[in-house]
Amino acid sequence: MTHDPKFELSDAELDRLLAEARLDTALPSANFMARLEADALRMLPEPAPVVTRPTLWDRVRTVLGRVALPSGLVAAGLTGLWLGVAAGSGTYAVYTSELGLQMMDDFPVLAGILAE
Amino acid sequence: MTHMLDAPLQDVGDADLLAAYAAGEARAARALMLRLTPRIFGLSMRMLGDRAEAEDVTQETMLRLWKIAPKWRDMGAAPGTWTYRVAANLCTDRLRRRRDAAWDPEFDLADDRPSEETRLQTEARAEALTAALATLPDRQRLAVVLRHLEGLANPEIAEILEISVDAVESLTARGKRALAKALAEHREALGLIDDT
Repeated sequence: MTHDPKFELSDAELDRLLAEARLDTALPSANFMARLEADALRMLPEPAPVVTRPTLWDRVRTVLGRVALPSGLVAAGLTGLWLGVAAGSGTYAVYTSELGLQMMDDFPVLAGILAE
Repeated sequence: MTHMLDAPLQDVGDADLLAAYAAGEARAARALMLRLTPRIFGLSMRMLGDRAEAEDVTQETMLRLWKIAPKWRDMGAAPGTWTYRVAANLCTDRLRRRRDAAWDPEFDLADDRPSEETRLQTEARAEALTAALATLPDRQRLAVVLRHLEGLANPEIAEILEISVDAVESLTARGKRALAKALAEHREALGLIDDT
């Protein structure tokens, strides 16, 4: 498109001006940026609380910590046996398995170790 | 529970940073602010020509971003585009109020700047361009600034202005033509040489 140089700049002249201006960008001051950061932090939402469910071992420790079981090695062995039975039977089925019932008769506290 | 920002911040997109901010991650606030603020401030300065007003627009835009952060999925646009849109609207609101109040901002060089021929001429050209931009209708000015000074592509400008790409092309073409006419009488003073 032709232009009359008396009345308007050429595309080349205008593009040169615009390219120069593109490099000459005003920047926000450090003080201003600090104010904006303060705004952002003031409005920062509270982080959502982290919900954790107790693990099987957490529950074992809780029970073992509360009650007197046969000492040391025997207690550990019983707990391991109980957990192994539960794993083999399925968590709820252990309560009705023959071995499970026998263990709960002898050590009633074991019934509290598995979650509902 | 893993942190939302396990990757280096420069590799995290704006939308993910905003989501992390909404989840309470302070690092995301600073990263997003550093990324978006210069662009918003640059646009506002080019549109308004006044540092205090540009700061007001920028601060208001960022406040609105932090406020909407928990609903960032409903924004309907990427955070960068959304903030440009808000800033553009705030700028045109201010320009409309200026006209109503018959305010005439001055785009003069500061008198106490040290002189140097080349630097003076470059500054003179920048000032002339700013003054010429100020004569354009608001939407043409916005389109020219976003396209030729902020360097955005037409599809993004279309999203910011909520118009079609064709409408953006038309606005920028008309804006450039108007600029070329507004600057013609200053060609010699601006030291422009037509190489064609």
